Amino acid sequence: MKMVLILLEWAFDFEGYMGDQVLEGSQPVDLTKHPSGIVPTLQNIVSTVNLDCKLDLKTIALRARNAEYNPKRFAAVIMRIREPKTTALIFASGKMVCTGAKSEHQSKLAARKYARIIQKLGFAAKFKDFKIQNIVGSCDVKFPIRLEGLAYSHGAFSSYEPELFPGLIYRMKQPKIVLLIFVSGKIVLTGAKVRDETYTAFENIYPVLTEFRKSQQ
Amino acid sequence: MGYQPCKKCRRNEVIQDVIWGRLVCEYCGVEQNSDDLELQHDYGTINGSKGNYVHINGGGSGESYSEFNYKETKIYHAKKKIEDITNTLEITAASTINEVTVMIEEITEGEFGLGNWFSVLVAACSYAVMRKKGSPISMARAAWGTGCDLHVLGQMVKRVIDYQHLSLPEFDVVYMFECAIKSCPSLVPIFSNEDKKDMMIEQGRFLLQCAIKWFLTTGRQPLPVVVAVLVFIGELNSVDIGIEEIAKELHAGIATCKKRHKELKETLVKAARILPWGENVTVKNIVSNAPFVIQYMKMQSMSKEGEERKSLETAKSDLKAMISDLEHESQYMEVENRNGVPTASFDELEKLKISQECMSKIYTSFSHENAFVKSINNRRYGHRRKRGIDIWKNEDEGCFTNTTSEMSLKLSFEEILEKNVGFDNLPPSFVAGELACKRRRDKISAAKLRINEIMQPKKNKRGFAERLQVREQTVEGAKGGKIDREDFVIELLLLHQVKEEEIEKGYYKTLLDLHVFNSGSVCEMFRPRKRRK
Repeated sequence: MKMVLILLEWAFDFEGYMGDQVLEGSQPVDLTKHPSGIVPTLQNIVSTVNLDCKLDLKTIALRARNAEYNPKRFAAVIMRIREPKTTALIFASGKMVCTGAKSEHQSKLAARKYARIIQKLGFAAKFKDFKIQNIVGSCDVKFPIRLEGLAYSHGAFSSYEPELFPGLIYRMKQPKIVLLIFVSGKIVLTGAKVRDETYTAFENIYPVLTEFRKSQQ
Repeated sequence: MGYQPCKKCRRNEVIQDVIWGRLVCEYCGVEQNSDDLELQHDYGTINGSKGNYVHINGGGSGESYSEFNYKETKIYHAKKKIEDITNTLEITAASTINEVTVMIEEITEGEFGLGNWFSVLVAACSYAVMRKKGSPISMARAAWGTGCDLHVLGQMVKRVIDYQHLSLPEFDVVYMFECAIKSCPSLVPIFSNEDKKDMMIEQGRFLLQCAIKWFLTTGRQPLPVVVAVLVFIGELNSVDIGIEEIAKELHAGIATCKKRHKELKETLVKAARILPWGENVTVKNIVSNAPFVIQYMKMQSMSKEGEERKSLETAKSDLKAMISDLEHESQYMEVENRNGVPTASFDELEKLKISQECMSKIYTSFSHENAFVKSINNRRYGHRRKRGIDIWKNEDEGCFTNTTSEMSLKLSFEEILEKNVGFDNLPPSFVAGELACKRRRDKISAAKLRINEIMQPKKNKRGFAERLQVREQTVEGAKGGKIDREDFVIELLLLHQVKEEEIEKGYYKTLLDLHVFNSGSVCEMFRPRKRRK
């Protein structure tokens, strides 16, 4: 009930902003960039950064309230922040891995926030060599796919072992992206360094998938 | 071979015991101390081949347990391990075992190996060789045979395939079914009758190939599907096959097998819709209706492309006409056995509306009038049946068992796809996804209505009663239930002008992170604005 009230409050507050707009919501997809009309949604961005100073992980774990450290289990401090909702692995060498962001911008912002936290704990942390290491995206082509046929005709790139994994693993050479293709038409794309690689990989595979689509009743 | 004299009697009558291989004095019977003797070491069995020459405490001759001997021992043990594992996996052909050994030798560059990893390698190579030969063993069984985890074995299989540049044929689920029905310990006593076994193999093959066509095997573990088909044809032929027992024997997950069994039945119910009484066919009575469904599918698969449509329509119209003619007659027909006891439940018969005997009559006339049903013409259908209703369970009169469709023979994947069985199915996961998407779409529509009602109450020039009705519709969730967290999230996303197509995908967390809790780029809507005076 409280949430309804909040929503109502927001709605009335935005009335002036929205003016006479009716909730239409959507803008058309850029078909020159996405000829398939489908844009993969980015689900996870993994980035790394060098804080360029040696860190005492025990101190960080004791002084930061959003950190956990179990050296027997894993030799890094696991730190989380709420906005952007991400998780970082901070190593004693000063290297840091940031995961869970939904965009490149969010990932960089989160990494900066972690660096600032480390600085506030008394370490001379810098922000060097920030790099996006992996982008994971997903989408739905909205038609079923004959995985057996795809595996047979693209045997050089694909691996389909239903005894082990329900999806077909397609290793695209250019761009170097791994795609997980499922019978339901859901696709997962991973291994990109920039989001355009994900989009290109999807646009490359889409015509192949349509070849093996099962016509719907 | 000369040994040192006996340590007790000093006679040169020390011999090697043929059973234990120990050195004993033949004269006094004293076992000689092996510490200061050269001994001939035997491995394995009593009559096993003689092994390495091991010289213990040899006075510093420098030959003690050389590297050469270690390697030989390792290879000997490795080969024994290969033999043991292939035996466990019931690989008996010497050529196959040799192929496995050669493959391992190539991969390890002649070093072979010891330890658990080597057992996994042997199982992986056995799996690869058997699959290459077209007679696959299941990975679950191979993992069980070596006592390792399925995914550990899977990784090793992948490495073996990559290293050897093998392109393995697709996992043959039909072969697996045939193997299961022939060799499952619990089925061996049941199938003492070879004819029945062959008939069930044919039925199972047909159903499995239909399952492949209907996406019931795509992206699924093959063994549970095999178990499901096996149990279903058991039910069809009144053979009691326990799903749990079979699942255990084939190393398949019991819950998955049960799920696949249910799915198979549900798909057959959908396929039965084509029958004139198809509306009455449910999961509960599909077993009694399955022979008709299967027969129909077989007929469809036998008809040629050109005459397919024609035959389907003819068949439909003929069946409908015949049913209307016979419906009147059917009420007088009794379905009973020789003792006059009804053999089918009255509820079931009531659901079917016409008796099964009547159905058989319909089917007979139908088959006589349709030339494409060739295989059943040679049966005696002219007389009225006096016996019970077991027309499909009875071997000599079974209506679908004798019909040989190409789908009952082993076909390649392409051939299976080309065949038309009169019914097409979509993958269950796809259907579930579509339903989820539709549910979200409904929720979005409801949320939009609710928001518009609040934002523009004046613009909605509806009457009070109409507005109240809309309110009632929208306050409730898409399915008529109460508004839940999902509805609130959708409202929130809509208010942040997130595309409906994006919301439909259902990635709420991602969208919330991107559009709502995004501190990096505050949404325009949330920016403080100057109040209008």
